[in-house]
Amino acid sequence: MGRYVLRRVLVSIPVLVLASVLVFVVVRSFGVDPARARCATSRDPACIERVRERLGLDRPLAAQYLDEMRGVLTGDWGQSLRSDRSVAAAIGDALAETAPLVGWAMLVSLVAAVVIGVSGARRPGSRRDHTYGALAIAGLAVPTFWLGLLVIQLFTYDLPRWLGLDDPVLYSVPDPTGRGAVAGFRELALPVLVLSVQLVAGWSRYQRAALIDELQTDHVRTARAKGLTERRVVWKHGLRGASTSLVTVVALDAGALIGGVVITERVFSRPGMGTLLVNSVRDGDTRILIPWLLVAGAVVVVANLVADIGYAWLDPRVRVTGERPA
Amino acid sequence: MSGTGRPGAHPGGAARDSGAGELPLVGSAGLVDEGIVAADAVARAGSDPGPARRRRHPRLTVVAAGFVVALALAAALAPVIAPGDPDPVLTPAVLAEARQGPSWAHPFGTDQLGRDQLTRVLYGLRVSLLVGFGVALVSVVVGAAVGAWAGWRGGWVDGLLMRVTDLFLVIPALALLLVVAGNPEPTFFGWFDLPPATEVPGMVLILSALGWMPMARIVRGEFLGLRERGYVDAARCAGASGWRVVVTHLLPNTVGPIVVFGALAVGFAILNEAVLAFLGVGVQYPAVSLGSMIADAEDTVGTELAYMILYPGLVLFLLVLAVNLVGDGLRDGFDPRRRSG
Repeated sequence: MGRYVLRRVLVSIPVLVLASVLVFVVVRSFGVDPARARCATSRDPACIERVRERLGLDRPLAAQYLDEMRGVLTGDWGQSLRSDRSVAAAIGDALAETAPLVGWAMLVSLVAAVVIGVSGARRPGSRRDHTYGALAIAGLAVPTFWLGLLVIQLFTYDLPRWLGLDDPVLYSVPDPTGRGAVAGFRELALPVLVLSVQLVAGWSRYQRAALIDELQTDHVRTARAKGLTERRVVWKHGLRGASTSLVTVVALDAGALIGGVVITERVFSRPGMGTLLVNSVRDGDTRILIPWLLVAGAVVVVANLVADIGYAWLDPRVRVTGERPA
Repeated sequence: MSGTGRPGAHPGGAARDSGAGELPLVGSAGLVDEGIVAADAVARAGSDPGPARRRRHPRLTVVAAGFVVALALAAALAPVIAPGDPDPVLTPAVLAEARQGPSWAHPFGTDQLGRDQLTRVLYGLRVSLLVGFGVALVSVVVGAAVGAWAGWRGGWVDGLLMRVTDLFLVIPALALLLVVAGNPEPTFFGWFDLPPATEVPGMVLILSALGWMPMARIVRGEFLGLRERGYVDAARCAGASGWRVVVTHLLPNTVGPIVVFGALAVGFAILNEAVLAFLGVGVQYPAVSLGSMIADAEDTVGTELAYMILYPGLVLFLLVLAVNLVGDGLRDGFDPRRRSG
């Protein structure tokens, strides 16, 4: 197992490097010229040339990329091409904004998905199961940015008006007067809600389907035959085997979450990794994009690694090495 | 990516969601001596809820399919049936209609310039539908081919193909989409021109290039499990070639996930196009898409014009919902495993 983990980590390094080369080349070839973005407000015609020279943008792309990677690997992430701001500080601040959003959304979604999935799987075809199913299908189909705008409209403007309040109630703006639980809840409630909808919808269906399959296996039949309570059969024997699919999906969604974060932060005007990504792409700021990519990529790789190991741990039949029997 | 999520983030769940009935505690007893394969088949048959329940909502599927067809017809016939002009000359008569809420004359209201919103929604639907079905087709073909090859061959082929898939998964798709789709004259690294994402073919190309990986992973995952089955060994013992086993035994057993992914990929592609439009890339004025309508109306939150957000989004939502329901229904009809009863 130790060798497997080591191999997966080593294998993922060239993947990340390749991805960073790809992003660097694509952004620099297709994207906005960082010097031009920087001189957008300057009236000096020599501005672009001067900035290019100062930032080293006039050198070959390969040399620039190698410089960039050398900086990243030696811990000196340098300054943003757009604003001279420290890249490490920019990414650190963005992570600090995004981590609670993603963390709460994943926690809320996991708990909700397991509870809903188990509830549906215990009585497939019941009215409750059908209701959950319909809600999940709707949740997967709803456009997140539209839902976000509707949620803002509803909770900020409509609901206070129906309740007879004069002023709209603002939620997602950080409350300067306090960082307590109430202020935190008020700041995060709507973004977490919007980010969670699709996760809960997808994960709960997985959980339900996997558990229904699992409840028909021989080992569950054995557990039932032993006379265990239904609760114990479902939550202990059924859920363990059924968790493998959910683990895989959650890990796969770690990468997919980036998109949800971008939209959620955009709709709610929150700073964070998603906003940083969109802004860096807009400015052609590869000095931020490459470390951003490596940080996000590392998170995705680790998530998938944990999922593979968890998979093998949860289901003894799975062989992580992937050899075929003779 | 989008997230809306990324295409195919969840199709497997829907694929495995069987709506099965009660546990076959009695049904499979006493069959152990007939072999594991037979017992497996009987257990599955026993869990089949039977013809009456097998297709959970055939009527709902038909209604959803009808709704998609109706929307497609409406989009195709937009120039004929639309009540107005999507991009009229802003005469005083047009401007006089500005900022009208929903009414019989303008069911979805009019915008700040007096343009009929229903008309613009119909034209936006054309973009959404073309992108959705185009992307689904391309991603399914590419993804299934890669996944089948990797899952069947295993070994270094599997390793290589899955690293390539990982590479595409690791790339922040949204960043690349924003960069590439934002470029009005894309080329393949200067070698040849690509269609720009401001038009439908370019959008299909970009979304497919970043949308086939889940299909590859799903098919590979299915193959990894299926190739260990007894019937594969049986077929090999009977002299079947690897190609024959893949085509006649493994792919048919993967039809459910493939069809479901295809149908859900339509929905996800439609959503992703809308997200890109919302973020400011995609079809350009004077063309409209449902996403760009919502983006244009973003400032109306909290004003009496908020219906400009509500209706395009509602159509987008219902379209994706209907497409997904059709995918669900297709799965119920096509999954050979569940027909075995």
